[in-house]
Amino acid sequence: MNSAAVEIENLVKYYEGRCVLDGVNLRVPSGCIYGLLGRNGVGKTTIIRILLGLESASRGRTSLLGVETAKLTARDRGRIGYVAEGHHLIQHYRVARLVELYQGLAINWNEQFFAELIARFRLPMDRKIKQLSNGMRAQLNLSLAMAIDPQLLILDDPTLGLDTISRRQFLELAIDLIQRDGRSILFCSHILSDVERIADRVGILAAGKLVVDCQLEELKNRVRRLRVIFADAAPAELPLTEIISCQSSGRELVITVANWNEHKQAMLDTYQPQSCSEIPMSLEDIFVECTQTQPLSAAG
Amino acid sequence: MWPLIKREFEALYAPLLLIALITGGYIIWLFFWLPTYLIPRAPCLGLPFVYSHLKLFMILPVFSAAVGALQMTTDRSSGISTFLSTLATSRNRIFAARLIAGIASFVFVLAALAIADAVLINRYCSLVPMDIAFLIRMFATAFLISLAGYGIGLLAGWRANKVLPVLIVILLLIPLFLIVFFTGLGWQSYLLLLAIALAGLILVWQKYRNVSL
Repeated sequence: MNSAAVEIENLVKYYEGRCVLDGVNLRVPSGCIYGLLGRNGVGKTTIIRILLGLESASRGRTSLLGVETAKLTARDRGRIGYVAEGHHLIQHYRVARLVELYQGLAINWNEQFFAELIARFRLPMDRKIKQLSNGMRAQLNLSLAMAIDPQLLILDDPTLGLDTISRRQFLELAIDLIQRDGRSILFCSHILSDVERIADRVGILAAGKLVVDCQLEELKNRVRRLRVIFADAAPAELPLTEIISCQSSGRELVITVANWNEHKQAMLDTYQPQSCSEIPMSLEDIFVECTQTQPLSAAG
Repeated sequence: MWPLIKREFEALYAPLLLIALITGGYIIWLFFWLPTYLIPRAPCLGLPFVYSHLKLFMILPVFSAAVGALQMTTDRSSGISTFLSTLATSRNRIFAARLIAGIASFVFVLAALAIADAVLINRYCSLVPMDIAFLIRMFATAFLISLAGYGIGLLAGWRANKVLPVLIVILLLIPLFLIVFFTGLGWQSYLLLLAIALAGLILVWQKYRNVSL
């Protein structure tokens, strides 16, 4: 079993009496790109902030690279790259000054790689951070995070505000990083096609709980959307468990079911449908189904 | 640690420049004033020399409180600690670097003044009798009252509102001056000022360690 780059046990967080995270358990193995998904305000950024020690948990335990968050030393932090949503860089600094500060504090600094990234993104070193576009800030933030050659890269909606080409460059860089031995990425994004492209494991956060936590391929295999046509009117209810959503219209029934298996197929067959075809689902479709309806129990 | 300290000093360049100009101007004035005013009146006017420092010693706690408040309000408004604490450092180090730069800002003033005094005393001691012990007590009090003011400034500055810290600092500095006024320059005032300074610094350190960034 791989050692974990990120480990969260029974994480609970209350904000002014409101439970934002309700016993989240999550494990990102070393060498994994983990896509953490969820709707706005569901607590993705809170999880990341707690992991990094920017805020405290109400209950539970979190660790990065095998070290508890509260016990992370400067050296441990030097092995973690972080690209924040909104890119919390020091706005009144010039790029060159920020780079100097970052470099001064870094434990590893790959000057050649950083120079390549700066040239690739055409980042102006003499401009103030607040004068950069959102996309440029994202590129600078990523370049800084990558230049320290991180063991673990935490990306909180990093491609927000980036154009298609920059997003692609960004993802290529992430893939480039992961190809190095034992590197891991925890990746939160609203752009599900990005997550689908690079993640090998996904977690879906809904109502404060991690309702899905499995390999991306496994998730796609587990969740099925079926179009079933009956000879007469579609039955009002099907005795199937783990139905995520069900829409009927005349003789047609479209159901989305978790953990589809032979037993469920046999159960459906007893209704002698005229036809039963599978509608392909993208990660986005699965995400919408999982977050719009009751929590799905596909964590595993 | 050095990049953090350097960053803190860079962030304070405007107040440091201001206090350097004030201190430099005062020292230059001292060098002109002492021979032209004090020497002809020697030996009975040794004390005015010492008391002339009071002007600077009154400014210093206000300056140190302003530095503390500025460090914290800038951090809060620019999210500096939020950024720094995700790098290869820790909150303790960030805070320590801040304290080093903040305390150094008023220690530099006291050090510059002490060096100027040493030069002046060395040059004119035979002409103007000085109460050296009293002078040292004044410096010690100035340091402690500035340290306490700095602690108050840090504590007051850690809030989003920019007006409130100014009011808090003004309100809390008055008791510091009253302590010195009523207890004089001695162990009693030293202990009180040190207790206030330590309480302020420990409180702000605890707050900083545990606050959400």
